[in-house]
Amino acid sequence: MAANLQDTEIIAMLASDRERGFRLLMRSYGKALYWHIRRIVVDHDDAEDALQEASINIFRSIDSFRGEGKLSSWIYRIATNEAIGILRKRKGFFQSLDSLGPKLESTLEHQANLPPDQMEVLFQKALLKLPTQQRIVFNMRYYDELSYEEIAEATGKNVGALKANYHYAYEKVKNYLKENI
Amino acid sequence: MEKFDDIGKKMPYQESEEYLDNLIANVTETAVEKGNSGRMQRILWPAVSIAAAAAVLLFVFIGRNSETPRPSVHIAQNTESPVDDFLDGLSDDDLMQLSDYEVEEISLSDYEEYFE
Repeated sequence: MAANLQDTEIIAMLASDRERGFRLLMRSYGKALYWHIRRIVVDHDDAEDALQEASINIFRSIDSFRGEGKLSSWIYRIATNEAIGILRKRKGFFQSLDSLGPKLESTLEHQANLPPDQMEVLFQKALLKLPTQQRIVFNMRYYDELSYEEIAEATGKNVGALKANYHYAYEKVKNYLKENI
Repeated sequence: MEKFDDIGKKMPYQESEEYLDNLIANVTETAVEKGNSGRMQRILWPAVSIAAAAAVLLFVFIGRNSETPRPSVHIAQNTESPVDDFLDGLSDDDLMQLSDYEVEEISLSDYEEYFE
């Protein structure tokens, strides 16, 4: 994952100077968190809002992080929750998160800087066909390169279930690309 | 079909590094500002709540221990009606006799002498 500094250095800084430690944390993880959220919510403005809320929550609850798990897992959990919170606001009362797929695809086409038949766009469209949970697991593993153990800490799922999720997601994306290229 | 690794991890929407640096800096400062104000509120609210509860308890305690006579006691002490005077004037035997009467037998005419 894209952390420039070791987590231990950030944790040590947080212990000695909370604000300075937080600024260091954001410098190390900020962009990765933005892209993680953006891949979930797709819309740029929504990603900014979720990142802001996640950052406030991280800063407010930084004292509750006791260093038992990995720092990356802890902040990814907060960011993922905020991103899912945004998706919940976008869906109808009786709709599931997974029903947002077509809406997110439309946002993707509007905000992409590339033609809709370009591989990067098709790849994202394939991901938006996945159930939200599977999509998040796939993103964390494929893009953020988190270990299954880190993803398990961040999502509260067990490693076996996550491996199965990733495998199914991988197969579905591969099949979608085969059919659409 | 290209393998996943050949497709790469490039996103179809791009934000410049400079834009993202500014975004992260702004988000960080806002988080520190809001986080600190929220922290102060979380510290102050329990203190304010405890102070308010203590003030209410003190008020109740002082109210209970004040020496100001209760108005209801005054009213009870000062109430004296002709009936009370009449009953006070009866002897024990008269009272016993009075209590033995049926309701319909009671007539003030029997006791007119007491009102003269």
